[in-house]
Amino acid sequence: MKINKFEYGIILISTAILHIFLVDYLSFWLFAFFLMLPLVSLVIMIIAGRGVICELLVYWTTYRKNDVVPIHVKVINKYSLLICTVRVKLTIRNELTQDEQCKIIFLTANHTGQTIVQDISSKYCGVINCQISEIRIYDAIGLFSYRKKSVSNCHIEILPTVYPIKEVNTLIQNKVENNKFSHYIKGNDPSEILDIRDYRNGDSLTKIHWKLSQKSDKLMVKELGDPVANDVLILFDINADNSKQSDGLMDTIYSISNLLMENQINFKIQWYDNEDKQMIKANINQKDDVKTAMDHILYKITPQKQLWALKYFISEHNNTIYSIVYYLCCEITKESIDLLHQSLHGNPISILLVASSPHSLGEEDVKLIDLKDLKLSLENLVL
Amino acid sequence: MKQRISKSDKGLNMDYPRVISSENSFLMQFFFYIILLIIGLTGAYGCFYSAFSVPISLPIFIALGIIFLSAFSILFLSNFKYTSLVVLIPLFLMLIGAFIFKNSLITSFIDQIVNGFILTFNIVSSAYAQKIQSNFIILPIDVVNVDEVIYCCTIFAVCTLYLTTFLMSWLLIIRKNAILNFWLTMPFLAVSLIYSIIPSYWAVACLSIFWSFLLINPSSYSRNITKLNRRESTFYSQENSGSIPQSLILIPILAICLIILMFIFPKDNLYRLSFIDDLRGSFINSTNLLGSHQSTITGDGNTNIVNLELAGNLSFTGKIVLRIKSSNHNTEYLKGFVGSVYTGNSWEDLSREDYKKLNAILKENKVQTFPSTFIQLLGSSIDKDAYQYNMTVRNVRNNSKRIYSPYGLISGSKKLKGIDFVNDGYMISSNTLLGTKEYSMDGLKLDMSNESLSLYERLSSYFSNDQNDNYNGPDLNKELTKDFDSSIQKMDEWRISVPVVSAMTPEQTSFTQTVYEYSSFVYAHYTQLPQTLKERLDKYRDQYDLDTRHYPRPSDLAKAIVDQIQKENNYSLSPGLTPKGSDFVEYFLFENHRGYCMHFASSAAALLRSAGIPARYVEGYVIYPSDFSNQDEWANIPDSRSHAWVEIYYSGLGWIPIEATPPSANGTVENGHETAESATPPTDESTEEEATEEQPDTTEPTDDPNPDEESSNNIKDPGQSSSEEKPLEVENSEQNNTQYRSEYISPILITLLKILSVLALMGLIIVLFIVIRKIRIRLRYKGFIEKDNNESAIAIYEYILKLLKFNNIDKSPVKNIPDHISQLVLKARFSHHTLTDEETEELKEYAEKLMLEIKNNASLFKRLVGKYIYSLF
Repeated sequence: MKINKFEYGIILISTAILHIFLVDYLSFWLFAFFLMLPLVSLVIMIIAGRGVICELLVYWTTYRKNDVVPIHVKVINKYSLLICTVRVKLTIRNELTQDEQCKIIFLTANHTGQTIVQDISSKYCGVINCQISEIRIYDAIGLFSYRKKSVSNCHIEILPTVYPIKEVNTLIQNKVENNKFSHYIKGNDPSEILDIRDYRNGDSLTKIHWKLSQKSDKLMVKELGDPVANDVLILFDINADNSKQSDGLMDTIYSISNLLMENQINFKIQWYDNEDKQMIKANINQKDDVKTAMDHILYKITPQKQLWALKYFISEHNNTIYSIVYYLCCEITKESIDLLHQSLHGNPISILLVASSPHSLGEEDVKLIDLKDLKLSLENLVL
Repeated sequence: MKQRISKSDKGLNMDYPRVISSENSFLMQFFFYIILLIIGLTGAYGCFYSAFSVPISLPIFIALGIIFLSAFSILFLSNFKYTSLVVLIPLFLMLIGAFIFKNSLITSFIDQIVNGFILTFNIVSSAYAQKIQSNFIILPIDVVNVDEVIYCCTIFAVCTLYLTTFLMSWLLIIRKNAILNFWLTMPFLAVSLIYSIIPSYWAVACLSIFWSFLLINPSSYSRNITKLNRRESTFYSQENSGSIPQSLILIPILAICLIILMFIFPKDNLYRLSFIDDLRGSFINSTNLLGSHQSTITGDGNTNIVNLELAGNLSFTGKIVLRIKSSNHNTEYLKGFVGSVYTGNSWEDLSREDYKKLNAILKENKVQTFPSTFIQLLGSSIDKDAYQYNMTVRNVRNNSKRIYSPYGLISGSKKLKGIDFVNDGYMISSNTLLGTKEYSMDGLKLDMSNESLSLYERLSSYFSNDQNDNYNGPDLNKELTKDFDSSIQKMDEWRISVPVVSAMTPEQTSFTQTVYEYSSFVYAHYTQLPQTLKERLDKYRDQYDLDTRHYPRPSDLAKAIVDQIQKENNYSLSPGLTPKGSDFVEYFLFENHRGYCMHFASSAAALLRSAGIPARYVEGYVIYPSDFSNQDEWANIPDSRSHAWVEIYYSGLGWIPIEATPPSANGTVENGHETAESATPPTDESTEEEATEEQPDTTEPTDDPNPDEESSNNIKDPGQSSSEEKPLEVENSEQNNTQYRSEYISPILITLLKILSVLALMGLIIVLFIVIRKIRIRLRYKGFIEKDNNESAIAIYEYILKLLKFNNIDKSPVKNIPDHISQLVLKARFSHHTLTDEETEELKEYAEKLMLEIKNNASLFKRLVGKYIYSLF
């Protein structure tokens, strides 16, 4: 637009100088013509601007980190013979990390429509709120403009990354008595026989099915079922200083959730919804529940300085017994840890600190998830 | 989804947007561009050819124009890769062919193009010369046949059309650059308007529509989007086709606007605001834009017009324009131009028909040499003080076609080689290209104070001196004694009797007959005035009894008229311009009352004409005895000696100068009574001082032998001039104050303009470097993104070598390249495999890193050299 203004200025000054020096009707004619040009441009803009429609289109809503997300911005003019310049301000914002970017796009609004594709990508997970925050109709020279009300937005979800975690400590599983058994995970529960097979070296003698061995004249072994725990709790606070920490925390939660699901361990996720000012608890019994919970978390949660989830959990805790409580945060004090221990009355607690620097808390149950190499940290993590 | 956006530290990244829109069909694009280009080309060429009336064959021109436009539009729209080669190769081959096959058709064709260029150039040059009365180069050419002229001009026009069409199409379709299109077409209009030559309105309208369409068409085709989009936060969409045919609706809208303007502001009723005129006048005078004409009063060239509309405020540079060596050291008028017809705002020559009649009357005689011929054939006691002298004039200015000759010229056309007599007025150089730098002529110093100068009186004097001793006829004294009143016109009506004729030699008779006929011609043509002016001047003269009844003799009447003019009007170098539509003389005599020699001389000539006395307006230079004080006997004449005066006709002598301008020195400019003597022609030293004071240059030359110093002494000090004129300022309006102020600051402005010119030149050079750098960088990067990665790699390698060489690693730059880079280059050069995108990217990254390293480590000078000379970064 500045270039248009500059060009127009040059032409107007040239014609004005011409009018001063050339004593002829022609100079006046030219000067008057270029003087009235903005008026023509203004009239065209007012008429054409009324027919401008701007749309924001996204065809997929869920992506992984660093995926290219195409956003379509379409501008169309419902009047067939009039065209005008439209300035569209496209803003994208990661609700989790609070990162924001915007781009000014100048489009020509004609009857056939003009569409541009704005590719975006996010290094961090979260919900990307894409919005046409401003539409301004310009005259061709760029001297006049007015804002047009037409707000359009859409959301894109960038999922956290699932990193492989070494294993789930079997002690956790054994600590909880439960009537539910896994139908395919083999364990040591003598009340549920999953399968019978031939003896292999190394099999425990206690598992030999003696009666059947006698009948078949060879050693047969019982495959026993494994109990499924459902009282694992993942509690977390996003008290992150930066986007990387928030992202790392979400990656960790997502990775743990996936691992637990793979191990058929039902669990609960609990967090503080600072939009609705309340604690939210989600029961995770199957894989889809993980996705639903993550959607909720990503849409609702924003970083906060206080450990609101911890505080509310302590205050609302009603002596429920968990096989283990995983508490994830980015920063925690010793007082908070003590408080957590006291409120859980000896329930096993595992505090996962997602941070870049080693902690100096000296607690055995505080594990560092190093952001510098998140993947390695999680690979070495034993839940 | 495997595609990755360029890496960034930001959590969120927005990549370069891309446009997806359905491309207009080829036909629609073609339709769009062809209409736009036709309007642009019609406007551009229409402006030029309608302004200068260059003869061309219009049907051929239009037909070829459409063919070129169609061809280039199709070529560019079809995205043919080597378009520029297709266009330039024929031209190149043609030039090569012309050198190899001399005297062939190609050579002849090129000759015709060159002739067409010369003819077009000459036409433009002549139009300029005619418009501003200045000397422009006229290139010599042998083409005389009208058809040949049209043919050559058409061929030249078509050649330029070919190139212009190519450039316009390329800029519009490929480059999508509105600014360059504006600069390309603008000169077509500017070349005429720069000297106020008005082209056809329809052509200007076309060009205006073209420009305004480029400006206000919202489709981004006419913008260099790439450059705009370098800013990360902004994106200007660019349609694939670039054309939105529906935007053509703007063309009729713009045309309607132009028509509406014509209705709202009709051409005939246009009122030009006075402040614009004031602004124009003060600017022109303060910046001395028309200095070459105005500052010297007399123009440079041989043009046949003095435009009085441009006679605004006056200033002089003091530069020497003439050097004169003469055995006559008296005050002398050197005539350079004679105005015969007064139009109200100009002095012009007579019409061609009148000159045909005149030449039929004069035959071999030259009016410029009448005085010497009179003395030679009919000399008498009235010529006793006349003496012959030689004068050499050296024109210091280059390219001057104007010849300055004294009154009483002896040298005829045969002796003055290289000089042409322009009818009965003045002389010009025969060399139309370079003019005549130095010329010498013989003159006759006359006693112009003698009042008995009619032909009758000359003959009476001749025969009363008994020079014709062999005469045996009737008493000539009786034949010549007539009872005239003292009016010279009555005397000129006297016809020679047979006895007198018989007493004369055939040569004398022939000359006398010519003089009689010329006198009739003079009275018929050199008393002409516009009717309205004549009526007003008649009333004016009646008011002051300025007629032949009260002043029978022309010299007395001239003196009385000059006295009256000087009495009522003030001498000023800053009278301002005459308002548009006003008569120059009327405005001076009845409204403004302020002016300099051009105003006084024009008014005196007009008043003399209205009284029936043949008078003409003359421009030239005046020289004084003191000018010859240099040891080398050369008089240095500065531009401040340029002058205008009146000449009146005496049938017994010829044209005689009359000084009409009052002296401006010693604060006497307002007192007309003190200048009454000035009406007599300056003849000897006794009148020298008065004559000197009458000139605009009030500073007498000193005896300083150094011409430069002398010239500098002659320069009119603006401050001094201003102080001299201050009493007038008090009396006059604010407008005059502005004019004086602008005159006062003129040297400052001139200096500023000079500085600006130097800066502009430097800027131009800088821009040139920048443009060359950009082109080279663009070409280089074009090589980097070849489809074939191997070619790209080699291009990058060449760049790396250049960088290393620039960094003074010229002995073995290859050794400084890391092995893996060398391996990649070798693979690209010699392997059958093609480099992957990643490998090419690696090369690019290395080149970029190397460039940054060299750039950051280089000194400022070296960095500039690398940037703008070698275009390395």
